Amino acid sequence: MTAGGDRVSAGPGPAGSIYDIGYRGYDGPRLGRRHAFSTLFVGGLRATFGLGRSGRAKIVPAFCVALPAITAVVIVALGAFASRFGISDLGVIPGHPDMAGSVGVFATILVAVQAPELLGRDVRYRVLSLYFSRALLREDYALAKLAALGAAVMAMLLLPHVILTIGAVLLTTDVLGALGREAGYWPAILGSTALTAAATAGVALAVAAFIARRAYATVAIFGVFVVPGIIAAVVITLELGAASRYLVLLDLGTVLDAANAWLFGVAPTAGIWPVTGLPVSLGLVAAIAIALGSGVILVQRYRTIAA
Amino acid sequence: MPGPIDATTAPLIRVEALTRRFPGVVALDALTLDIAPGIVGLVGANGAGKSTLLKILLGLLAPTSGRVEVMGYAPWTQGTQLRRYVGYMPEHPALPPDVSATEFVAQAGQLSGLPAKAARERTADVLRHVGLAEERYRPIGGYSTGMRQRVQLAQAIVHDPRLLLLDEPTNGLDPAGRDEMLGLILRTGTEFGIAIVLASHLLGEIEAVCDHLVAIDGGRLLRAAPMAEFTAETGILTVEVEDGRDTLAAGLAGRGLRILDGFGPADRTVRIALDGGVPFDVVRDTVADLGLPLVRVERGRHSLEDLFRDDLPAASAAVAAEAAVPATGPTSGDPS
Repeated sequence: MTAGGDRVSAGPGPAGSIYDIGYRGYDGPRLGRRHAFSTLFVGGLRATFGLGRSGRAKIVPAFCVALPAITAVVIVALGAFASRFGISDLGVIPGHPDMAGSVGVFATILVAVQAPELLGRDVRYRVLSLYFSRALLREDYALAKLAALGAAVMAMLLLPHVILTIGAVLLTTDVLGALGREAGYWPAILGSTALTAAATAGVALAVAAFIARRAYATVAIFGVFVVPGIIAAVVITLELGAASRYLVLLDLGTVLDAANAWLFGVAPTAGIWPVTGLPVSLGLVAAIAIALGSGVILVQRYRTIAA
Repeated sequence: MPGPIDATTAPLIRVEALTRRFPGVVALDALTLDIAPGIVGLVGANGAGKSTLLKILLGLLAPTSGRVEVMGYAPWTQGTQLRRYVGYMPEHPALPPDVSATEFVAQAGQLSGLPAKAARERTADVLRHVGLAEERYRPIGGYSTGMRQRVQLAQAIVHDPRLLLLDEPTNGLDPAGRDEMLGLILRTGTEFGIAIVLASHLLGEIEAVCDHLVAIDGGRLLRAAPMAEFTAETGILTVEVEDGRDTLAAGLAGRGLRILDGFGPADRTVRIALDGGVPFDVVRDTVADLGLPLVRVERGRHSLEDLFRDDLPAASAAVAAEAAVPATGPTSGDPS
């Protein structure tokens, strides 16, 4: 891979100017869509965490990464105290199955603030026409943004689990036993965080794809995350008929909680899901459907968006 | 990796019976043309179909019907491969304000297929070529219009394309900025050896930098030919006198020259149709014999504006023939 080829122009000629040291052609490799996709993915990941941006752009991501981690550290510390004072019933202290409910709100905040950042700027400043004129497809652009935001959310959600696992292993005399217990949790941890990441990032990007103004998009995303839950709660509480309980499937937070409960094999922790009497497996199905559906809406939007 | 085709054996761009309809409007209407490497001006009024054609050449828009080939690729189905070798500068500003020119252009290079290291190296190169100095590390939001246009050109050439599509590249620039941008485009086409299609509604711009010209109007080809033919000498000799215009016309007609109709009573010129040689001697002798105050004798030249004059039926009638045989001579100077 060498830049600089046979097409080397002469030095300063009649058309030359002071900075002219000749144009060098490029004869190196020209990569394709995969390279373009990973470039957009890495760029999107950096943008989500505010890396390479102003200090202000780092505030929300830092907050959303730090607080769940701190929560996990506090849990580990509580566990250490509890065992020192001989309290063996660890049920009162939150563990892996409870993390989704405890830190899920930070995933919501992160995507509501960063999804408009990832998409809106390129629409508002019409940068899309420069992206689409390159070695990638419109679909690649949309999916790279989804992958970037999803990966960022998943990383953010995994961090407290990693801390819990490290704490559990370090604070015990039975290291092998602890490792075995923790390993048993990890399939569910990976499944739950991946599903939460895909669904929250997908829904947020699908909303942001239709609203170029950043502030409005953020408000709309919070609305989509919060309003269906309120409506479902009201309707179900009023007992307006058996079919009304399915409204709960529109509330992403509750659905993800049910999916998390199914994956860990525990009871759903919060919200109105227990009231509805629906099986938690339905929550898993609904969460997967929301993740896929929002991805389809996002890609469809970018197939036709003006550039 | 070599370029996709050998530019010497095939035309750069081949368009055949290309039609593109939008709801309620036909943007391109059975357009057929070949474009060879060089700096080609694509000229037409606003709404003539220039931007639509460029977007189809890039593979951003699908043709409604017809065939398009760019460097051997079908843009709509092989767009991602083709676009590794094409640079594009849209007619509107398209730069994000919150990143630096260096960062944006390097990313653009990678998205066009350059490995990260090569993209960084070439970014430094092309930003120097377009004349951006230290400011390239500052966010683009603080740039002047002229600087932004330079960045837009830089992002279009960062991957060393074989073909550069420029859509109204001097939009919004002041006269000095316009001249600088045209100078950069000329250098890119000549020194850097990149084929250019330059769309503009400003004939002066096209005339300044292009060596070939394609004129479209209402989505149809008006004419495609080397620039020289558009500005070639016409078959008219214009003689201007201070007064005695009618006397001169009669005198010249008396010596066997064909005199064309004047433009009205205030006109002080006699226009002679040239059928063969140029009768400078006859004109000189006639003016001298009649003792008329001569102002000028001038061989008429076509101007690009002639293309879009409604009162020249020759222009549209000649379209088919000219398009098929781009090497024909200048159109007849018949000034109906």
